Amino acid sequence: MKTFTSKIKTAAASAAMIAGLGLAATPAAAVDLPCDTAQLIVPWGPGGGTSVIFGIFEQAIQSSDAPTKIKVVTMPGQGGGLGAKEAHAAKPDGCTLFAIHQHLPVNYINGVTDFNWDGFESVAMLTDTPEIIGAGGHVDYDDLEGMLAAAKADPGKIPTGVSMGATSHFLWIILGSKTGADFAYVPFQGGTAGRITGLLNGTIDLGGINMAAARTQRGDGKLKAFAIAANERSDLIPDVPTLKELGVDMTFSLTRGVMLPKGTPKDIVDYWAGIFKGPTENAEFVAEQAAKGTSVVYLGPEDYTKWWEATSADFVNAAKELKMGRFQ
Amino acid sequence: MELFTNLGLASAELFSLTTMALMMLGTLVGLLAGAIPGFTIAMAVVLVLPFTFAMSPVQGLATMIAVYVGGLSGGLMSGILTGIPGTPSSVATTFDGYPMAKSGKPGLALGIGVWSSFFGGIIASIVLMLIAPQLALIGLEFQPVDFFALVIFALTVTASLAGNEMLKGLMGALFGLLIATIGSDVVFGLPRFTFGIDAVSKGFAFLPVLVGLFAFSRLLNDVRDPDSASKRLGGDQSTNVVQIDYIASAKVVLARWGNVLRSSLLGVFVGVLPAAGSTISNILAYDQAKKASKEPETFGKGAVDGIIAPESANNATAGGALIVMMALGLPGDIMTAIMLGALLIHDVIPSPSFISDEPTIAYSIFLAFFVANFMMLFLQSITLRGFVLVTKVKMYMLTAVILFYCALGIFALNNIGYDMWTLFIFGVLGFVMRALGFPIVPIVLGVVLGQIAETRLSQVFARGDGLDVFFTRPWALFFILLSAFSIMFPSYQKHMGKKRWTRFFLPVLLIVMSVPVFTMPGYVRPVIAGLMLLTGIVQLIMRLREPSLTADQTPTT
Repeated sequence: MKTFTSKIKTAAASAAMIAGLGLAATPAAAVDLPCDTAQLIVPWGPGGGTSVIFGIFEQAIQSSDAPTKIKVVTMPGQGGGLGAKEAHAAKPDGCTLFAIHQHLPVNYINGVTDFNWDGFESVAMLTDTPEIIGAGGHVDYDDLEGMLAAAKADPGKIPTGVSMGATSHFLWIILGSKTGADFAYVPFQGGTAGRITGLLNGTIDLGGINMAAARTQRGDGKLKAFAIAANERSDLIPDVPTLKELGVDMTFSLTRGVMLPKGTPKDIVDYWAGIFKGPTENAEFVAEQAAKGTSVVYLGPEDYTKWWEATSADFVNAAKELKMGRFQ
Repeated sequence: MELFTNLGLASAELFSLTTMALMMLGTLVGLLAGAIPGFTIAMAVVLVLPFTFAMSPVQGLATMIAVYVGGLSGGLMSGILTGIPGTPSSVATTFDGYPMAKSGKPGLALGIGVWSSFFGGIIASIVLMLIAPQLALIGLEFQPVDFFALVIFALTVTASLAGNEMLKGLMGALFGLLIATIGSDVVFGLPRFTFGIDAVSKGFAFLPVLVGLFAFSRLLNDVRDPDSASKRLGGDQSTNVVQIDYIASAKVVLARWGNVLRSSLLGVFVGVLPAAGSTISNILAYDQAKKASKEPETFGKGAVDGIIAPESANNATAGGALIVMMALGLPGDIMTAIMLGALLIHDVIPSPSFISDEPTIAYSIFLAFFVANFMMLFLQSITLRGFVLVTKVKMYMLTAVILFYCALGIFALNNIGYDMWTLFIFGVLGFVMRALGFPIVPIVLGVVLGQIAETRLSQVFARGDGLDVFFTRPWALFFILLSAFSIMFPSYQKHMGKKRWTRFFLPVLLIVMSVPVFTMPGYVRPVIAGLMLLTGIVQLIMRLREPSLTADQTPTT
């Protein structure tokens, strides 16, 4: 473990290593951070998917030999916007990290934040959870084709559960813009659980469901799953086709990653990218996540930045088309 | 019998030395967190969560359940001794627990509280083991409109909680609803009533408001001049150590088994409904106890039933929430949400067939809940000894310490300084409102229920339903009708036996309520409705044939 007495040496060494080895940023290539524990702001409540996943990262880093540990700090509110503002305003010294998914472009579009993903430095993409187009067991149709036909026959009338103006809403907006269908949006808050209750008891007909529900509740005929918005079918639910197979050119997933405040020096960004890469190479973690329908996908700072550029453009374009939020 | 085979399997898994030790520790952590105002049970469960990652599913869940049960019971200690609810689940416990403790019987009050928690938990675990899957399905029957009707019913509780200050009570409830509208609207998340202040767009979190209104304002009141500030909390006569007579208080509680049973079942029912929880159930149970009581005027002055009802209800609610979490994979409150997360980490996915697919885990959860209640009883008897010493501390010292913990707990909730300002502002507001004679509970009720009501109502309209759904869906109609009777109840209680119409109140209630119950699915409930109708008609005929009472006659009911 590095101590403060070897401050200058470490700084020099790490600078040399990064200069010399380029991308080979391993956890050993420590930079000197002004803190023993960095806070990782998770802009969602405890117990939710994001805080559970980052809780696992916290544990893994805690038990590794990384000189600086991390502590998850949950900061729910404003659909992730509150934590984003807090992290955005933090000092760019590597001691405040931010856990993110596609909520930030959505926050930006809705005017909750006045910065988008590029208000941060991209560090690493970590996991990817594709959305599943689900329906309650009570609906008449059994596949995507039937669903779209019903939606077109009765435009804007099929009750569909979403968190208004959040990622679960954009799933249907983008699907609608690609297929010409229109749905009636019923506001649900607090993530997937409330929506699944609504599907089970017939409050809503359609809604995005998670892998856990798709695996267990379909057997009883209480839920239906029409498509998965990924590039390939999932091994866990191999009978559910992808949207692309069904002729809708669209993928949609919740992609979680880590960011640092804008202006954080590149060596610190690379350092944290290396630290977070560790757990993603752990077979047990990968298997655990796979069981929940989440694949572990690591992308380093450069690739992650490129991914953000493309993804954010998709969201902003859909919003402009529909004149949503700040594009009204 | 299958039940016993499954219990056997589960106990082999659960009763290991390590698991028992972990559960003990969990219960203690829960008790302490529950006892400190501002620290919530959810916080304690969240803190414990990372440790459970490395445990087996049964071990991890058992530990979390222990924390949960400990926390629900811990709230009664500070609630009874200081009048400040340790958690939102024990708000109603303070109504009668604190007056009883102040009148020189803190030992009895605590004993009653502890035993009620225990029996509430035990009744809930029995219900849990017997009819979990069937009960969970009732939770699923609740569509948004039914929820909205339930909230309306919960709001009518204001009428009886406000007592003689009816007008101020109603003003308080409306004020609470107004507070709940500040922040972001529940549909689009757009800022509302923020006066352009960015921080306010988050709204006022429920817990800081609650702690401010209850704890802070009471503390301010206690130290308002140098004389009262140097008093001891328990008054000067209670300088000798308080003895808790467990046998005597157990007898008191058991003698009122009807109240224990009713409050526990009510607690389980509220627990089964997603997103209701023990914050609501303890107040509803208190209200029902007051309505059923023969001497409602003693409530608020240290009535035994007023302690039994909320404490048995809040522990029972945990059982109800566990049922739904396991049978449907749907968390009813934040605690079960966290437990669900823990299950998913071990790739155990609750679903309607969970209890038959994974009997070991399911029955371990039932058993752990059962066992944790015994641990709670045991640990309470130890920790209470320490906690009663609080009554000997001088007010000005105690106030500072409690406020410090309140602020700490509130900050740790969302890690944001703004919540501490909320606590401060509502503390001062609560102090002023108390001084003006406003009851605090209706305000809190308004804040809790406001957002649920708005969300549910907006869902009703987003679905494109008309107003007729309020009368065509059984549960909605059930609660709308019940609300009407609930509003009339205080007046019924006041005029009972003196006015002719009060004689028909109960029969009419039974007859009217049988209508929505009859339309509910299944066979059991229509049959119950038939019985209700029959009893109602028989009673009505009997009352009609009685000679008319004169004002000086006492009622025979």
